[in-house]
Amino acid sequence: MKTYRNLFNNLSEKTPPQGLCLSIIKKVRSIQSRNAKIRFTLSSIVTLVSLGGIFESILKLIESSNQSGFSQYFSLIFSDSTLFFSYWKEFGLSLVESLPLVSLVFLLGIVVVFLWSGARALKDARRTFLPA
Amino acid sequence: MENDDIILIEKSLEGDTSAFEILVSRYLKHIYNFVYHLSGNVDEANDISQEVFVKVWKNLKKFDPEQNFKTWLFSIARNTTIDYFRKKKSISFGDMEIGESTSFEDSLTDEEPLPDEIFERKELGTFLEKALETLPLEGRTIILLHDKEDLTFEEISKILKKPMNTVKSQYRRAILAFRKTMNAPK
Repeated sequence: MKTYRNLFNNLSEKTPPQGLCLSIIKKVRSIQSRNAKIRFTLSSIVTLVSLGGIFESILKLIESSNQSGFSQYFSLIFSDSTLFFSYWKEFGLSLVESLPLVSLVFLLGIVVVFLWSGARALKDARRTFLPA
Repeated sequence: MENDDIILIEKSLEGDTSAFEILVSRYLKHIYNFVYHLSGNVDEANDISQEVFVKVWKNLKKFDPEQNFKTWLFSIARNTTIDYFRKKKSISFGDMEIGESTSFEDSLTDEEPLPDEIFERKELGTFLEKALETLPLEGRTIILLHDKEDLTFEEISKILKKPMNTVKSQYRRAILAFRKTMNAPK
């Protein structure tokens, strides 16, 4: 039994032009490359800014440590270790209380951002300057 | 084939362009022919086919692996073709739709046997192409998807985002219009 399915199988089959597949892949690669360039630029900027942020955060952490007394307590471990080991519990509590937590968390956050954006910039640099 | 498609899609999403190239070469002829028979023009078929696969690549992240890839692909192809024509303003809404069916058309069966003399017609391929061009875009789309690409009415309803019964009615109406063209004096 011949049906419309059989009939339309006789519809002329066109062969796509020789270079069409290649042209499609070229277009896709050019979009990939353009996107990689944009991401590389953005992640490089974030990396540089976060690097600057790391230096600022370290300076802020040192300042906060001095203000809270953490650096003085901490230096006692090395300058007078017998005192430290005699009163290690109270000493430990004082260290924890004077820890400049906010500055420390901020520094750690900036370091994470730096590492993440640096890794992305490297990956996108490979795609931009060494395309497949 | 379907599992292969999923593997190729996953590799393409990881940035492997050669996997995407295999996917393109697998479906390019189907899409090209589908688009060509909708547009009737080789240059337009080239442009639209290229746009289809670029859109596929851009939207691969949105593809649901539970779905049939071929159905999703033809959905993009159909929408891209319509957008292309709308930009060129070469179609109006009236050119698209095939209208409501009558009870006679509803009574036609999907798999109606055809007489042998139709198949013995000279230059059948060219005749079918010209006959198809006389149909509205929607009717052409349904016939090509059902009778050329062997998609089910359920799959076609997902592509056209219409109820299955509507698709069946539109198919029957398109076939009726096609038969009138076939039986018209030469």
